Amino acid sequence: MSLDRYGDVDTWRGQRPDLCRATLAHNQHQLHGAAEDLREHAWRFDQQAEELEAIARVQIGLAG
Amino acid sequence: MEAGYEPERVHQLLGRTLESIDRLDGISSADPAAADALRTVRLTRANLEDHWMRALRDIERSAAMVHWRASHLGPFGLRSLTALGDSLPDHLRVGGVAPVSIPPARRSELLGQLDWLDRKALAGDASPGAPTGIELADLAEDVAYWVQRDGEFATEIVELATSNMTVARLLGAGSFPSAFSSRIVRWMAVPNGPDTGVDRDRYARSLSTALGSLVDDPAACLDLLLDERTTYALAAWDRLDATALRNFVSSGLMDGVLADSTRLADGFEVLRTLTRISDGPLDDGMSAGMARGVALSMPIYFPPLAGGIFQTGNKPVRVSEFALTIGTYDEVANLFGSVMRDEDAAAALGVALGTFTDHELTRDDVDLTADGALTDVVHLSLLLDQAAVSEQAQLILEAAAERAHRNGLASMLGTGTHIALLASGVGAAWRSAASLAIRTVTDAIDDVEPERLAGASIASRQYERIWMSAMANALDRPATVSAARRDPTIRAQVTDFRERLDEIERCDDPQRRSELVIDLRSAAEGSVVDEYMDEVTATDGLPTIR
Repeated sequence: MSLDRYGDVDTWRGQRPDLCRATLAHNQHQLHGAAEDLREHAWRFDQQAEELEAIARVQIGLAG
Repeated sequence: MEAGYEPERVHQLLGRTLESIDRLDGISSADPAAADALRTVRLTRANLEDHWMRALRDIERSAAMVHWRASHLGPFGLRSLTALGDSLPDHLRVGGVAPVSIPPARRSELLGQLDWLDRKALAGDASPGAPTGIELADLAEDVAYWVQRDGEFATEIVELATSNMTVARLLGAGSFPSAFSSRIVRWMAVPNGPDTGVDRDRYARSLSTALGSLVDDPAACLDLLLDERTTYALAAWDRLDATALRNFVSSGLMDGVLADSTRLADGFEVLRTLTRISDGPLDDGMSAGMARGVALSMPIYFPPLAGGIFQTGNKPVRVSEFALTIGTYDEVANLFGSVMRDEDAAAALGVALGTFTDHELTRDDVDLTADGALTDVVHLSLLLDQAAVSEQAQLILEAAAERAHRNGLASMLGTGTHIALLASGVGAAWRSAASLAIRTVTDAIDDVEPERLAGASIASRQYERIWMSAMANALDRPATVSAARRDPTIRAQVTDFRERLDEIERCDDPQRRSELVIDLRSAAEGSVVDEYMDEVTATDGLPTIR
């Protein structure tokens, strides 16, 4: 989200614009945090998938 | 504070904001792991709609923007509205407006249009003949122009508000002075509100629009709440739009004080009124919007209030800073009990409690072993425990306080008289963050097994939070660190305690978390931190909430 670039003090000033900017900044921080959580989640799933693959390969090797 | 805008950039910003809202609308996922993220997306979208679009539409409707669009002039340049001088119509000029009597023919014409639009609205907003947004905006502009110039015409319009529902709707369609809008709210709420014979749903929607129009003027909201009859009317009438009323109340009680800290006494006066009516005519509960607005504002009021709680029963709860008695202990507990009957309000109280507790526990000058260090947290926790009218309410409060801790809300907002006004939007920004915590809790509450409800206790949760904070302090103390350096056994123990604390912080299940805390407390007995923990848990009042 790049809305903050269009809504800076060159566009509008005052109490309401300040409120809008403060709210947006906080929401952007929350969104980045949520994206980080999802990335970490995905990374853990990748790790688990690799471990399972490794186990599967060993088992195939033993069976062979 | 100077206000101003650059029309071309504002117009561009409006388009970009609409694009952002559309893109956020398009984000979806069926994966349960994405639930939190999607909530954040929805909240962001709601804030763009509620704050940005509303402000931008108000500017777009102004005559200056209309002139700009019509003449295709280049940008005015960023100047304050006052500097635009004669290029602005009168109703956009800052400051007083010279009185002018409305010509009789014009008066008749405007009253006729009001009557005509109200008749068109009788069939409902969705009906083909209903007033359009443009019709309302055009009439609002004209009426706003004349009510600022002709006091008699203004009074006539105010008095019309209780029989013509379109009057209050105009407040949401145009830019009216707050003083005029406040008169409309007061006239509609008292004594004509709940007892009127008109279509109550239309009346409620109309009054809700009027309340919404005042949200950007927190001082006006607080002034209205200071009028006891208005507050009673708004707290008593549950047909009012809960969101509009919540925003109105939190604007007055929170933003009004953030903008002017000398008005904290006024805020407590409002709480005193609500305490009195909660103990009397509103014993069965107050309107959802009032409850939620009060609850969301509590970070401002909890510290002085907690400091005024000394004894239970019929002993007074007194805010010494203003020599103001809010009510007896039981009456104040009854107020919060009344608030907690609404789930969202209960969650908001929990968030406020969690924020307050974290702030008290992490102050730079706090010494957890000193008597009285935690007295305020203990007293407030016990009062809210008494106030919780149901186990469900206790569970919601407990869960919301924990969520507030996890979301780090205390760092966003100082509390009480130590509020750091980081930006003029800090109140709304905090409420936006608090809303996310509230949504998480209230969404999850439906999945809780009934037997879990019996184990809920606000005070127990608070004791757990205090104990964990003390444990974290104990592990960081110089005595602990140097002991760990000298002795490998102690070092291993400290590492183990830190890992257990991390595990507890990560644990989402309150029951499992309590079990882990109990295990850690057992393990800590006789260890290097035992003496410090004994000192903390022996402080005055803390054993009471164990």
